[in-house]
Amino acid sequence: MLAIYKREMRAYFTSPIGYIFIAIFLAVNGVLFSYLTLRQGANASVTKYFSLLLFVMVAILPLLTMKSFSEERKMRTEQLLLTAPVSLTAMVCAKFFAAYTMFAGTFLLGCLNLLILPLYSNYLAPAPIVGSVIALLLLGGAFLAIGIFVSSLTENQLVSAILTMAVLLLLLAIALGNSSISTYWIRAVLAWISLFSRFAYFSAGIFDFAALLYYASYIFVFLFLTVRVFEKRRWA
Amino acid sequence: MKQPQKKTVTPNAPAKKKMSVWQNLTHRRSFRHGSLAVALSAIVIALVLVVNILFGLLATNFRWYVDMTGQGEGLGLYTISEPTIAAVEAVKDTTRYEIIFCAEEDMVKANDMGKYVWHCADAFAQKTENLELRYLDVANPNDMEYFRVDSSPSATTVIVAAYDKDAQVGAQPNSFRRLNYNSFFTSDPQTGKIFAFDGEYKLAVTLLGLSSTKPQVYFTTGHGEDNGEESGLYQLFLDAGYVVSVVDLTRDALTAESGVLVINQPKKDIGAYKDDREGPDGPVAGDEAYKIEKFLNEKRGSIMVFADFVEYSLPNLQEVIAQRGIGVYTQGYVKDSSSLTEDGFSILAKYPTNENNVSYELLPSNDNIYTIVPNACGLYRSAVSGTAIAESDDFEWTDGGGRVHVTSPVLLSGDRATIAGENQKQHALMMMTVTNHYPSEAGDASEWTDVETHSFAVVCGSAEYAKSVLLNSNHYYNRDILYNMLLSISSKSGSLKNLPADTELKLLSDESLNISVKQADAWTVVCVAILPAIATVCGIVVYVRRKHL
Repeated sequence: MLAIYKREMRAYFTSPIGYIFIAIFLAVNGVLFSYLTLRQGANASVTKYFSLLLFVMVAILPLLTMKSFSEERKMRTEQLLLTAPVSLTAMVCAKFFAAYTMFAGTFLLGCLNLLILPLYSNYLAPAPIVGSVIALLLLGGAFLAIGIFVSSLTENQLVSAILTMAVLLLLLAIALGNSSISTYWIRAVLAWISLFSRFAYFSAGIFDFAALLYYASYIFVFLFLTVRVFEKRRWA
Repeated sequence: MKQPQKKTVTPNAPAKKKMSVWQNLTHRRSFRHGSLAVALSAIVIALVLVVNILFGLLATNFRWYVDMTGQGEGLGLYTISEPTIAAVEAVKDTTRYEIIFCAEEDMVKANDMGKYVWHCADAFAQKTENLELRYLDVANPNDMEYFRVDSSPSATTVIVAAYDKDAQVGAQPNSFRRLNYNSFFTSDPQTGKIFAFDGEYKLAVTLLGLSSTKPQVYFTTGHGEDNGEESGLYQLFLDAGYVVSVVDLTRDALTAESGVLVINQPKKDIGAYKDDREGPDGPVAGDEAYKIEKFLNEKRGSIMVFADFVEYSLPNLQEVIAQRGIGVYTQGYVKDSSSLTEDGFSILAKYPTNENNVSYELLPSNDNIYTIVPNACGLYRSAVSGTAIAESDDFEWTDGGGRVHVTSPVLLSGDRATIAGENQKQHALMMMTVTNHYPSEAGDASEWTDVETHSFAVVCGSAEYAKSVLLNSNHYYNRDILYNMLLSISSKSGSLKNLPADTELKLLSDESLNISVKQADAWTVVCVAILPAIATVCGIVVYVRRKHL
C-alpha cells in the first residue's frame, strides 16, 4: 500500500494537476478569506468564510479524484492494477490517502491565513475556528471517498468530476432545503443522511464523537463500495 | 498400447494448504462478484448504519462530546458549573422542572441563538435528576393551554415550569416563567451587539425562583405611582409568579406575612407619620407611614422604594426608610463621568466588590455588564449620623427596639461622582437593609416558629430605575438585580447564598476586526497572491523540466 501511496503522491507532484489544484485552492481560499474577513473589518465573519469554503470544496475536490481510477481505465492500465500482487483494499486506500494528503496539506496551508486574525481582533474564541477546521477536514475526506467511488464507475475524467459534483451538490441541497420541510421525521432522516448537518456542531465549538464516527463511516462505506466494484471487475 | 501418463512431481514442492471454510467461502466467484457479493455489501452498509445509530443514541444520552469553548477556569459555553447543579438539585425532593421549547428540537438547534440555549438546557437536564426538556408545538392551542400570559408564546419562547415531584407529564405546572432566546444573551448598550451568553445564570435563577415561596406583593397607589399593567416593575413580579395587588394605604391593611410593599415612582408623599393615633377601626386615614412601619415590624414585611427625592418632597417616606438606616441626599442628583449621557446623570453603576457585603452575591461580578441608574439621589447610612458611604462593607447596627439590621450598598457610583454641596466622591445609588427577626420577638410570639428570618428594605434613589424600557432591555442588568432580590426575599432560609455566585458571563467570539484599509490591502496580497504564486511557479518548473524527459 505504501508503494502505491508514494506513486500517487509522486504523480501529483510530477504532473501539473497537483500544482494546479494547490494554486487554485489557495487562491480561492485567499480571496474568500480576504473579502469576508480582512476587508470587512468590523463586519468580518469567520463563520461565513468557512461556510463558503464548503462550497469551494464541493467544486474543487472532484478535480483531485476524477483521475483516480477513470484514467487507469481509459489508458487500459487497470488490468495491471487488478492483477498486481496487492489487495484491492490496499490499492483503494492508498489512492484515497494520497488524495487526502493533497487536500489536507493544501487546506492546512490555507489555514495559515487565520493566524492574521488574532493581530486585529478583540476577542476571537479559538474553539469555533478549530472546530470548523476539523469539520472541513472530515468533510473533505468524505468528499474524496465519494469522488473515488464515482471515479471507479466511469472511464471519463470529466464525467467523473461532474458526477461527483452533482452528488455533493445534491447532499448540499438536502441540507439547505431541510428546514423548509414541515414533517419532523422526514427532516430528521434527511438531516441524518446529510453530510453538512453535523458541521454546525463543530463550528459551534463542540467536538462530537458521534459525528466523527459518522464521517469515518461515510469514508469507509464509499471505499468499501469502490473495492466491491473492482472485485466484480477483477473476477467477472 | 498407450502407456499411462506419468504424473510429474516436482521435488521439494510445498504441499497444497488446506483452506478453511471461511477461505473457501471468500474464494468463491459468487462471493467476489455474484449474489453473495451484493448481499455482503448490503449487510456491511446495514451494519454501519446500525452502529452509527446506536452510537449516536448513546452519545446523545451520555453526552459524548467535548466542549472546546472552555474559558478561564475551563467552563465552556455548554458546561454547567457544579455549584449551579447543586443549587438546582437541592430542591429535587419536592420539585420537578421542565424546560419547554416551543419548536421541535432540530429547529431549535438550527436557530443561531436557540442552539446555545438548547445546549445549556441540555447540560442542565443531563446533570440534574429533576429536570427534563420538552418540545411543544406553538401552533397547537392544547400544547399552549397553560402557558398563555398576556400573549401567546412564539417559536423562540422558552418556558421554565415547576411541578410537584409526583405530578404527571402534561399536568398544570405550579408556576412557570416565559423567557425568550434574547433573554439569555447580553448585548453592548452602545452598539446593541450581542457579546455574551448568560444561559447558565439565567436558567439557574429562573429555576430557583420558581421553587421558592412567593410572597404577596403590594403596590401602593394614591401618590401618583406608575402601577398600571404597563409598568415594567408590575410585569416583572407577575412574570416571576408573584401574587400582585394594588393597595390604598389610606383604606386597606397590609395583611400578608413576609410580604413585599413596593412604592414605585411616587409624586406625593405618604400620609403623616403618627405612631400613636388609632381610630375605632384601626389607624385612621393618613397614617400610611404608621401602617408601613407596622407591616415591616410585626408582619416581618419587606419594602422596595423607587423614588425621586430631589424633584418631589417626600419627607414622611424619608422618615420610614430612615428607620431602616437609609438616608437620602435631596439637594441634587448624583453626577458621574461614568454616565451614558453627556449630562452625567445616567450613571453606569458599580457593584460591591467586597465579598463580605450582603448584596455581593446578587449578581456575578463582571466588568462587561452594566446597570444603569438615571437621575439618582445619593443615599447614605442614616443609622450613623454624618457617615458617608465610601466603603462597601456591611454596616451592622441596632435600633431603639433592639432589632439588628445590616445596611449595605447594592449599587455605587464611580469614584468621582458628585452631589451639590457634598464633599465625598462616591455615592450609593441603591441600598439594602436586612433586618433580622428572631423567634422570641415581642408582640408576635404566637405567629412565628422558632426559625430566624429576615426582611429587607431596598431603596433606589432613582425613580426611573424600574421603568419598562430599562427592565426589558437586554443591555442592562437592572431587571436581574431586582429579580435576584425577590428570590432572596422569598427564600425560606432567608439566606442570600442560594444563588450560584460563581457563574460568570460567557463571552461569545467577537469576529470583528480592528484593521485599516491599508493593512487589509497588504494582507490580501499576501493571502491571494503569494502562496498560490509559489505553487504555480513550482508547477511550471516541474512541467518544463519533465517536458524534456
